Formats: sequence, structure tokens, C-alpha cells
Amino acid sequence: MASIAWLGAENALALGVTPVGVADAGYYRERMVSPRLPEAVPDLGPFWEPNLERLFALRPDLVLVDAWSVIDGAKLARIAPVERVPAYPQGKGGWDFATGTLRRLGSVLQREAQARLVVAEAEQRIAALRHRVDAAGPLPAYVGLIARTGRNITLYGGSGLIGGVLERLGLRNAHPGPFSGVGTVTVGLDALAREPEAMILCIDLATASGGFARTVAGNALWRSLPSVRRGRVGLLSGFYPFGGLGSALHFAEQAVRVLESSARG
Amino acid sequence: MGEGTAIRNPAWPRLLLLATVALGAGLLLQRAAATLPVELWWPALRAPAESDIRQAVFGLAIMPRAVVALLAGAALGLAGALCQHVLRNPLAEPTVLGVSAGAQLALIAATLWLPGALAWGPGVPAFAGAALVALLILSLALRGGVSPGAIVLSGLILGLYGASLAALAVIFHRDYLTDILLWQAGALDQTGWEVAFYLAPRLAAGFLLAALLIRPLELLGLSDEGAQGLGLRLGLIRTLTFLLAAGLAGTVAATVGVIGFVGLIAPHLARAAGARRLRQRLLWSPLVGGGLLFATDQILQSVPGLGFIPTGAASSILSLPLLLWLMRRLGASGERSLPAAGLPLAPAQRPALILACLLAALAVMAAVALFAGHGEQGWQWLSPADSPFLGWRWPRVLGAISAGVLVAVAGLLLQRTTGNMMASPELLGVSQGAALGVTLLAVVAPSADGATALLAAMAGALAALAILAGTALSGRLGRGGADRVLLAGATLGSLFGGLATLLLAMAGARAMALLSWMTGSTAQLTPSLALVAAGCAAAVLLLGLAARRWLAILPLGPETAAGLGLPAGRGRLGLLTLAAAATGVATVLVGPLSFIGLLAPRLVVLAGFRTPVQTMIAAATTGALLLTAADWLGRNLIYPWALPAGLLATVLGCPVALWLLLRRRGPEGVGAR
Repeated sequence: MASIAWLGAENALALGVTPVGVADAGYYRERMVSPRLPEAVPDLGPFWEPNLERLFALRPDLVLVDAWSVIDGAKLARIAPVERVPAYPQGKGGWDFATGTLRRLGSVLQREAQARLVVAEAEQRIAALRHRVDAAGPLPAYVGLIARTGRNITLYGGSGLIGGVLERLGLRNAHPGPFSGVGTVTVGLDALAREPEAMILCIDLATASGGFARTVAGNALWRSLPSVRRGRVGLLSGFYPFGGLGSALHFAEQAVRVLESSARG
Repeated sequence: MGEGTAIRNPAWPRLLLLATVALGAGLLLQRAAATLPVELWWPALRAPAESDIRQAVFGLAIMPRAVVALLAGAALGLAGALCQHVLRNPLAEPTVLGVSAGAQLALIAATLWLPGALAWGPGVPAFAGAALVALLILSLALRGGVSPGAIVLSGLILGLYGASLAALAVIFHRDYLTDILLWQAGALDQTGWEVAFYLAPRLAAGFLLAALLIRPLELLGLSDEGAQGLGLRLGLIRTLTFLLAAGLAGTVAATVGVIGFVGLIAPHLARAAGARRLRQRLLWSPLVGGGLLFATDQILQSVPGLGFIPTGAASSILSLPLLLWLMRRLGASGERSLPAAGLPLAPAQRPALILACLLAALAVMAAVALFAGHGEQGWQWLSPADSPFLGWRWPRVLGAISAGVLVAVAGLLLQRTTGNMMASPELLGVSQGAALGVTLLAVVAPSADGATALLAAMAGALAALAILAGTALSGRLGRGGADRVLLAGATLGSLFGGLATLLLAMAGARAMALLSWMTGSTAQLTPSLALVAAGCAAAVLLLGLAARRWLAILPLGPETAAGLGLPAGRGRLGLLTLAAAATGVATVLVGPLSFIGLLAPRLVVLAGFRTPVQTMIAAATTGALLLTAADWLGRNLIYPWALPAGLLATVLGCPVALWLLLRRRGPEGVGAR
């Protein structure tokens, strides 16, 4: 199978199926590390305009594509059966959405048993993480990506994946919202001052390596934030906020680690 | 200049301005008091205790933000007043003139490819970019006989070009998407006093220089001959003043991003409030600009649920009614009409032969686009047996041809009816309306599918078309009326474009797909859509050909038309509607941006085509050829990746358009009288 949808690729890898091609594979490897995409998997071009001719040459038996994609389904259907992957949780919590898309792919790929196993293991791991949260004492959490100017931050939550994971961990989202339909909102950095107890989890982009430190260096407001003064800041590496169960657990583990070091500190 | 905007009784505007600023101040005080007890304000300003987050928020976020709003608004107000005076153009302003876009582009380029250029702060590349555009605009303006409208249109084209290049940068540097969108939307959030301290001395220097320039500038207000008689070196004064305005705008763009229309509105409000003389305007425009941006920013932060909207985007939206009012007044005064296009140069020797060559070239290009391409084993020539490939390629090729025909005919109709050589379908606002429709859908209903997205695009295009028609019908549609439609469309386009940018920032991963569509990709064309496009293109071409009498007569002026028994007003309205509809269809199919509608008709006229029928067929063929070539290149240049055809056409075509703009002299030149 091949995947134009990143969420589909992540789920397939979790089910032990290596795609024959993934859209924007290079950037995928930068942003998604759990599970890793093998270097040998070819790039299908950008997900907004995948190269159908290369896709055809790869002879996939199934093509996964985002539900919102404007790519013509009839064109894809000439290559292989098409499975549309819902991209954003609607109404459901982010966690249930993630397990749901995995189970669904499991049945499409006829790997129901594997899917059950993966979901059960994920439930186990998140439950164990939840125990560690309870042991350390929960804290509210901001999860976001700081703009390069250091003056704005894009926060995640709401009905998105991050919102769902925080809920499962028993952590409250420190930002009350509202969030957009995809679970993001961009606000001024002063929004992080509202919850003095909270921990701040920031995505650190590979392109900004050393950039995060530079972004907040000399930022007087950042230094004054109670969470920062308490050292309750964690960096999320190799993380994509619109991924699936693998991304969810990767995030949950990093979040709990930050929580534990915050509680100790 | 701009006497049309003077108001008899300045008391009401004054009161209104005062009330707005007072409301902003009240909201600021309220927010400050809710954050920190009043007795701690002064210590928090002098040295906020790091242990007290209330002091930090008050002293490092709330107050600096208010000050930055005041300073940035003032800088833009001053820049706007200077631009308007020097160009004698009531619509001139750094954002409108593309100066801010130049600053922004230089900054993006420096961030991505030349980080060393940022060693002395963002101001250096920003000023370089702003100054470059400013000098370009000025060289146009000083060419002599160039109308204010033509300058504004070139500026808007530069602005669109900037947006395209930013989109190109983002395709290869995805991590920068949010940053660039934030920049374009103009966010005023602060985390300390750095930006305020950066802006303040530069604004002060700007005031000082403006004060030094006041006397020569006042003389500049006289006629050119009068000023020259007084021994003034006109060019030097104009250049210096314009560079000053560019510096101010560039400084703002470098620090808080693009804030549209404050610099345009402020001088007019200052004038309406009674600032008649230049020195009054240079003092009051910045004050009004600062107050306006400050009040907008405060109100925005106070309305629950709106706090996330960047102030720059909001101020553009709020300026819309003021702008429409302004354009009505300018239209009514009738003095700002754009010039007629002169007669073409020497006619082509053998138009039929050139036309045949063009058609042959199109046929060859179409065959290449269908059969040749980069494949897994390098370059390949397909045989007709490789059916799925051909099945995917022909809708794109047919779509590109159709869209090329549509925008080229639309461009020709616009240029003929308005008599403005820079008129381009992108300037109708229809394209940006469609873009706004799609982005709005993506944010409100993230899971909607491609077919719904097409409907949303159509709805957006229709909304823009309705507003445009309303503007057209609100006044007599003489030559000046057509200009007004164009300017209204262009303004509407900038506003819609800004709004779409704002929404893009909220669309998550999907933003890239939207951006790709918004820059003109043929990827999503299905066979049936391609056939619909071809049908529309044929219909528009036939309708355009049927209107050949009007196209021949309208450029000669309304009197001639009336003498020949043709009602010029109705003819113009009909042709403008046809152009807008063609643009709408092309936009819905392949996205909104390309300069082909501008370029194809210009190239054809330069080649010497004269009669409307020949010109139209040649322009349509050229448009189809250019877009097909761009689509093919876009699919193959960076295989397996793709560049949207519209984006590629823009990136390659805009410099050509500017070159055309700058190289023509004499009676045929842009806007020559």
C-alpha cells in the first residue's frame, strides 16, 4: 500500500506494514519518529499534489488519502482501491479518534488481530502513563509551537489529538481555548501567564535546531513566566500534532517525563 | 490632490476620531487595572519584578503592545501622507504600492537563504527590499504622464507577486508556514520593549527628516513648472521623500509585519478632520494613524473570542467601508480617471502568419505536455498505449489551455474597457473571493471534500462579483467608472487575500493544500471539470469576439461611441461582467493567481496585432501556450514534486510584466496620455 495521508502512513507502520511510498517522505522523517519510516520508502511528492505517475509505477494494492483531499478519487482508483482517512476528530475525543482510525485501517488491511494488539498495547501504555501522572501529581499543560519571533505561540488542544491525549493522561489543558476546528489557535505569548502552575511543552523543529533557545533568549516575558521560572518547560522532538496513535504515545511519554521532572524540581 | 475628500465641517470627524481613541485608551486602562493594581504600574514599567507575573504581563506585554501600536500606526500614517503628497496620488500608501511587500520578501529571503544579512537586525534587509520597490515605483512615476491609478495597480501587482514568492518559499520550507502567515497578517503581540525601542528612534528620525523636507515639499504641491521655476531639484526631493516613506514602512514591516491600509486611511481622516496644509497633514496623519491602530488593537483584544485575530488583518477589514467611501468620492470628483491606451506601434506585417505560428506552437506544446515528461527512468516519451498516464495528463493540459484562454480574454477585455494597460484579472478581487471561500470552508468544516470546496470557491467568487457589480452600478460608468471598478476590485482583492491568509493560519496541515490551490495548480482537475472548463473558454471567446465592435470603439472614448450609436456605459458594464465571470471560472478551476491575464494581451499588442478579432485570438492562444508550458514545467522540473502552474507562471511572468511596464516609452507606454 501507499499513503498520501501521513496519518495513514503512521498507522500502517504501526500495523507492521511498510508503505511502498509516502507523500512528502523527507519531511515526514523529520516530523514523525515513532514509528520510523524506513529510508528506502520513496517520496510520492507533496501531499497536496502527489505524483500519480510515480504512484502508478510503484504498483500499490491500496492508496490512503486524506478525507479532505481535493485529489480526484477516480484518478487514484485507476491505480488501486482508495481508502479515505478522516483527518480530524469530529465530536470524538482525540484519543478515541486515533484508536478508531487504526482499527479501521486494520480491518481494511485485514490485520484486525494486529490492530487489536496495537490498540491494547497503546491503552496499556497510556494507562501506565496515567498512573505515573497520578503518582507525580497532575499539572495543567500548555502544548504549542513558538513562532520564530518569540512573540506568538500556536497552542494545541480542543478536539485535536493533543487535547485527547491530555484528557487520557488526566492532565488539564492550561489554555481554555477556543481552538479552531483542527485543534489549534495562535495567541500572544502572554497567554502562557494565565496558569502559573502549568508546564509548557514546546515542539522543537529540526529546522530551528538551536533555534528554540535563540527564540526565547533575551525574551523578557518568557523568562518571567512562572512555569519557566520553575523550570517546567519541556521540548518535544520529532513530533507532529496531526498524527495518530504512535504520535499520541510519543507525545504522552515526553509529557509525562517533563511532568515528573517538574514535580521533582 | 484629493480635494474630493475634504469635508466642509471637520467637527464630526474630529469628534469621532477622539471618541475612538478614547475608547481604546479606556479599554487599555481597564485591562491594565484588571491585571495589576494601579500603585504597581510605575514600578512594573520601570523594572518589572520577574517574580511577579502580573507586573511582567503589564510591563512586558500590555504596555509595550499599546506603544508599538501607536508607533507603528504613526510611522505608517507619516509614510502614507508623504507618499500621497509626492505622487499626488490619493490612493498611494506603502502597502498599496507594494513597498511593504518588498520589505517582507527581502526579510523572508534573508531568513531562509542569507541569515548573515540579519546580523544587524531585521531592519537592514527590510529597508533594502522596501527601497528597491520604492525606487521602482518612483522611476515609473517620474517617467512622466503616469497616472496615479497606473502606479497603484503596479504596486498591487508587486504585492501579489510578493505573496506568490512567499508561497514558493513555504513550499520548500514548510516549517516556516505559520511564521510567514503571522507576518503577513501583522501580529502586534509583544514580550518586551525591544520592538518599541527599535521603532521609536526611527520614527523620531522620520519626523525630523520630514520636517526638513516640508518647505521643498510644499513647493512640490505647486505645479511642476512653478516648482522648477523656484529652482528646486524635483527628482531629488521626490526620491528622498519616497525613500523616507519606504524606510518607515520597511521598519514597520520588519518588526510587526504587514499592516494594511492604515497609511492610506490616516491622511484622509486627518484631512477630513481639518488638516488642510501639508505641515498640518504631516503632523496629524501620524497621530491619526497611531490612534487608529491603537484603538483597533485594543478593541480587538477586548472582544471575547477575537483576541487571536492579528491586528494587521483586522485593521484591513475595518478599513473596507472607509476605502469604499473614499473611492466613491474620488470617482464622483471625476479627476482621477486612468489614461487611455495609446494606439499600438507599427502593425504586424503578417498577422495571419504570426497567428498560425502561435497556434502551431500551442499544438506542439500541448503534444509535449501530453506525451513527454520526467518518469521513473528519466525523460520519457509516452506512446498512446500508456493509457492511465494520458488519462491523467489530458485533463490538466486541457484545463491549462482553457484557463489560459479564459484569463487572457478576461485580461484583454479589462485592458480594452478600462483603457488601463496594467489591468489584470487578478485585480478584480474575484480570485481572492474564491480563495476566501475555500479557506473559510477549510476552517469551519475541516472534513469537507473536494467537490464542496469547489462550491465554496464559486460562492466566494460570486460574492466578490456581487460587490463589484454593486460598485459599478453605484455611479455612472464612464471611463472613470471603469477605473473605479478596477480599484475597488483590487482593494477588495487585497482585503479578501488578507482574510484568506488569516484563515490559512488556522487550517492546520491542510493549509499547504490550500496554498497550493491558491497559487494555481491544475492537479485537481477531473476529466469532466476539464471539459466544463473547455466549454466555458469557448463560450467566453465567442462572446468576446461577438463584442468586437465595442472593443474597437470603446478605447476611442464615450463621445465617439455615442456618435456611432453605441451606449458606452452599458457596453463597458457588459464586458466587465464577462471578464469577471471568465476570471471566476478560471479561478475555481485552477486557482486564482497568474499574471497571464496581464501578460498575454500585452505581448500580443507589442507584437503588433491591431484588430480586436486578431488580438483576441492571438491573446487567447498566447495565454493557453504560457499556462500549458508553466503546467508542464511545474510537473517536471522537480520530479516527483510539483510546482503549481499559476505560481510558476507568476514567478516567471511578473518580471516580464514589470519589464514591459518599464521599457515602453512614448505614446504607447503605460498610462501615457
